[in-house]
Amino acid sequence: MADVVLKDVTKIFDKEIYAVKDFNIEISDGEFVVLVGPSGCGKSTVLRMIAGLEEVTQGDIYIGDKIVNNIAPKERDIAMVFQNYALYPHMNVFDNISFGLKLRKVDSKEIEKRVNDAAEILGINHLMQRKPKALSGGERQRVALGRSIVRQPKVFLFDEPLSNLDAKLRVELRTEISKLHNRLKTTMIYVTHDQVEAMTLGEKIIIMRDGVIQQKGTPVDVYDNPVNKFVAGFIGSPSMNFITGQVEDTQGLLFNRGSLSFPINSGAEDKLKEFVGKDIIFGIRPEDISISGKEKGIPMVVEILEMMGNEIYLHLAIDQNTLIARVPPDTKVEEGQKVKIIFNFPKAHYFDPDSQIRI
Amino acid sequence: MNRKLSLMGYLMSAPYIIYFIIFSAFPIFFSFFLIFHRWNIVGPMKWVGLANFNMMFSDPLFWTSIYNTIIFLLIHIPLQVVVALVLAEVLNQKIKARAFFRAAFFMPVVVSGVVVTILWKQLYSTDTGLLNNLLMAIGFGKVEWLTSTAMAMPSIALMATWKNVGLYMILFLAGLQSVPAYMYEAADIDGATTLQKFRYITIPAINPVIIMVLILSTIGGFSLFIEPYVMTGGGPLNSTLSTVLYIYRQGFSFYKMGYAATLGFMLAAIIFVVVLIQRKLIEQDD
Repeated sequence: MADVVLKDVTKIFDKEIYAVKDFNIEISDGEFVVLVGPSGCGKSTVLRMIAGLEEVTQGDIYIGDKIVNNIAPKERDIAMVFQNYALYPHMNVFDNISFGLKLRKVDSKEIEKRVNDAAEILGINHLMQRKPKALSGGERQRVALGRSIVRQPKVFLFDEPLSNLDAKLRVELRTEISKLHNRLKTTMIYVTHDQVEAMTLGEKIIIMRDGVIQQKGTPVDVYDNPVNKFVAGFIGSPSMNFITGQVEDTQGLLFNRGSLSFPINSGAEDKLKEFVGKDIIFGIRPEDISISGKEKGIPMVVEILEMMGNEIYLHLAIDQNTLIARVPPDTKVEEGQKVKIIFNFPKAHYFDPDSQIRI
Repeated sequence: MNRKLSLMGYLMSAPYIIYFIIFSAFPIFFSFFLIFHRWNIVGPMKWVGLANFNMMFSDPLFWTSIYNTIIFLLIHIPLQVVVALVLAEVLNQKIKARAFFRAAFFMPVVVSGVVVTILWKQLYSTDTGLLNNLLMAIGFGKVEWLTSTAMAMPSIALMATWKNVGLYMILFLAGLQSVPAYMYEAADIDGATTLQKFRYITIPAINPVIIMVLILSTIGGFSLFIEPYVMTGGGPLNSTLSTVLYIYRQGFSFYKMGYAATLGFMLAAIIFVVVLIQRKLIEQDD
């Protein structure tokens, strides 16, 4: 159990490629933190630096109160779960799980006990004598989880552990990992490109792009108050709709984008006044668009209707503008139908088109 | 259409089939036929039944040649496997001039065996050889590399290792490169030292290559011929008389073709049994 702190950590590959830049986080003991971002954003590099598999170019990494920059992975008291499981193919499940303990010369009775306990938790007791190739993907990842649990490390590191699994197993193991954290209360750092995993697992999520932290916060906070357009678009599925238009002042502010124009009445008027006559990006999440039953609203056409069962995704269009709306499954609409839509303005966001920062 | 196609197929494979019939199938059948005959190439064949076998079992020189070959294998194979594996491991690291060293160690493999042997004969020469000059320069006495019965076979084994190690190094190198990096990373985190990673990750992962190298070098070792033929002629005192050299002499010096064929079959049987035992011992069940 330990805090993990990264101070101004930078990783440069080949003397010029910044994989990670001035990375600062403080993860408190027992916290579950998710690093999320598109592929190539440096999130795995951060994790690998914490693990000691990658050298730190600049800055310091602390585990507990010790700087671990120059400490070998095995001395860091961490455990890591890899995307491709990284099980030892020639060892059976028991040997895979107990390998780290054997190397650390743990007493064989103790090994047996810990392996059995872990197997119990993960439901893999019956697989002990099998080789990895006789296991399914889900079972392999459970074994890999078992291998990290028995070590009782200070910190767990997960490098996209669910990416190679099918959708159903992913959900199953996701809850498994959540339960594991509740039970063990150990610091966990989890890397994923899947924003759903980030939202559901993390107590704190850190969104990265091009090696730089964009935002850190609780999932709800990041979802409701994204700092910039990137975060707003990355978190949430289907992602937020963005429309670029001009702010005009005609007896109150107006967002003008030809046929998709509307008065701005979200309480954001004060902040938007300085943008009068300039471009601005309007952002609205799909669930904050609804179909108006009355005459009021912006006219659009339903181009495509995606029935998800529990909800409907409507692809709406007018002229060159398209939006995706998420509406209840009992909404009476058809493809090709003309509808009027209403925005939930208090939930709308506005972004500066130059800096991309939320206004 | 179909007939045309199959004709085309036979035509395409004809060169190999013809080669195989002339140089493999026919000699095998013909020598099997010879086992039961006495024949000096020019005269008529004479049926002798199992007389060649009787001769073989009471021929001390044949068993000496088997013994010599086994001595050769016992030195050559472990040396070869260990040196090849160490070289492969070193040349799998990120070291300078890696490509140069890989090519340099492979070079002897493609050089003619006769050329290599003549070269080493000079290196090994007791009075004028480079090796002994070097030993004397640093204060040691002369070694009778090829002229003492104790040293001759080990000297040949050493040379054979130098000649072939590049090939096995390349095989090991291919094996090492197929071990995924994440396995070593997982072992790093599990707490394995460099040696433990080699023992628990590398060796099991390249086990199939180790088996292949062992079998190939066993078969290759049993057919030891050029080295003693060119270097020592089987001497001193038959201490480097290899089985194949002995078979060659029976056939082409004494023209006992039937007897030579019998010894050849015996050698093939021995190789078969040895390789079978090797596989049983080393192969992992999985």
